[in-house]
Amino acid sequence: MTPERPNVAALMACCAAGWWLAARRPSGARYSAAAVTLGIAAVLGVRWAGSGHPPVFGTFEMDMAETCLLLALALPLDRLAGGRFLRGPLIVAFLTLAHTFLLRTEATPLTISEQSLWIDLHAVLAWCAWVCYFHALFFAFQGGGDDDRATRLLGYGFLAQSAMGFVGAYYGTLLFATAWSWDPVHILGLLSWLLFATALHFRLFFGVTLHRQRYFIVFLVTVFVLSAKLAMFLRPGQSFHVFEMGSLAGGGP
Amino acid sequence: MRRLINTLGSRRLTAYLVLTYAAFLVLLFVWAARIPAAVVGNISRTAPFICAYIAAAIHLVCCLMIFLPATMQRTSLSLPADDPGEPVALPDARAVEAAAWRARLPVRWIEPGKTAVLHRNRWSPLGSIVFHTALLLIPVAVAVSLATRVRGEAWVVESHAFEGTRAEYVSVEPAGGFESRAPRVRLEVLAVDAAFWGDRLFFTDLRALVAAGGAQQWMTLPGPVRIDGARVTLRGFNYTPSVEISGPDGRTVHAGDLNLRLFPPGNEDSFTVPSLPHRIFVRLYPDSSGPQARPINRGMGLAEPLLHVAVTLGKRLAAHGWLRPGEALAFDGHTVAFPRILKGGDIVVHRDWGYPILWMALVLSFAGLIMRVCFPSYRAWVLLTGEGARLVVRADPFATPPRLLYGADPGGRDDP
Repeated sequence: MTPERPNVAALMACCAAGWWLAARRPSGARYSAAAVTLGIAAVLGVRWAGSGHPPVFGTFEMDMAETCLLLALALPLDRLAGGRFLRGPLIVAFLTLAHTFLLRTEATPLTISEQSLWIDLHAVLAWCAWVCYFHALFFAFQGGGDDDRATRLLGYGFLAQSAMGFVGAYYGTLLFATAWSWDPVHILGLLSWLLFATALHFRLFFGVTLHRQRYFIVFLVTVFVLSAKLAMFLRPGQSFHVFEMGSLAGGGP
Repeated sequence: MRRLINTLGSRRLTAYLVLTYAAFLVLLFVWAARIPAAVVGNISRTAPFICAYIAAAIHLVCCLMIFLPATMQRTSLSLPADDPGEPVALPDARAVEAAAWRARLPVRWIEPGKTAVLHRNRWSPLGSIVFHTALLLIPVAVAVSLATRVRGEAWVVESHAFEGTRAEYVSVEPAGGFESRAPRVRLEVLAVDAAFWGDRLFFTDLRALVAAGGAQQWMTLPGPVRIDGARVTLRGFNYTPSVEISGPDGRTVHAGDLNLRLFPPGNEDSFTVPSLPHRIFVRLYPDSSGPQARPINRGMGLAEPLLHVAVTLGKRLAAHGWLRPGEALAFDGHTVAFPRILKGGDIVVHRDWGYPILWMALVLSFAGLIMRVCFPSYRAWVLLTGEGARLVVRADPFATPPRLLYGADPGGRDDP
């Protein structure tokens, strides 16, 4: 068992404790969320030092970085929303960390197609979209005065996802001499972008609050999550979004 | 005409188009998960999809025509006539100025001492117009791309020149007009370097030193070089041997560098030479120390190369065997040897005038989104009546209204 597994299990336990405390003792939930955030940052920092590159390659590192960012933003937002807000981020953090148990944890060097600041930017924008969409969803479930916050976060998420797509298109021309290919990940990404735009239009044109759209947003976030995590389930060669090293043979150096 | 525009730009049509697109994307996704992307691309260019693209473009134009006047209205600083406003605790002009200063909102008096407008990011609503107009540039970029795009793939070998003739390309786009459109890319590959992660087929470095136009430059996968207006990208890596075939009298029948595909290890390729009827099949194991009959490949780097060579004449196997570089295999009175192994790669030569338009479209649309989302507009009119003050607010849904003006929740929102 790699050293990451017990660490991740401990972080998951901390998430579960935080979730339980959120309804009973909110300050305890905040401490739990802060501990998980710092714990993930420490794990990523050690891996960063070991692998020699930022945590942008491999689904394991993507999961960890996204969770870290999600909770890091949840802490200040919890101050605004109050009460049980942290339950949502902690559930998502728990599930994302659980997902890492399906993945290989060995630190992987950057392959040549990943050795570019453009792809780093693409990954960071993906995390930002992930975080903003999830928090928009949590605020949408809160309803009331938090609907404005949900709208703003949905707007920021849409901005980040658009920028991610633009950067990806530019990088695609550098790598493959084409800005777009009918890759399953691209198609799901475009579908989620289109549907998030629809949710924004519902809000802006028809005045439908995000609280009323909350189950639609659950569906949209699911499509977005699938677009980010689907590559590992596809056959080799079906997508060039290869973040997962599970298909590679050999034990590594 | 107005009625037609209203129909084509209606919100109901927006909903139908979004649903249609979503259904199309779901279908394409199902196909993309099963069949190659190129085939899915061909499906996406069939009549139903083309109709949907055209319908979307027309709808977008009509929407812009409908919403431009309303959007301009939303940048106006004129007092809305239909809103009585709500009471607010701002007794006089000085209080209004002080509240505006605290809220960091510029204040403009429409009627001095009576009506003031406080606003922030007034032009923000135009961001939506910029964003959607920029989206209309994408089909223009696609059309320009279809008319001007050239793309050719070729294999190159180190210490060899690539002259850019049609015959040197393995595949070209467009098949018909490539020669008339394509730039003449000439380059010489001076060296190809590759590094792997342990024994895996996993590149941690791949670069080629090329000489073109009197200058030498490194070409990497994410770092293409520009030659004659074209972008040249290094896409793949390859090993290929040089060959030496001698006749029965010991004289050299053929010698030269080949351009075979022997990477990844175990990949088989073949060649013929003009003076012989034989076909020679070759496989390469770049780092093999195993028994000759059963190679054990330890890595991808060129450490101890071992070649498997089979010579056929028609359906007859003339000879086969395992060779190290420099060793010879005899067949039908001749001998074949591979003195050295060269490194090579795949290059893509690419020029497309649609891309500058596409980048312009993406940058403009992004700028429009930033305007709208990050700098939302906020307008507030204060009417001093002598007996109190009333506040009329128009705020973008993305805006956080400055509460200093109210002392209570603001309420009013703009319709887009």
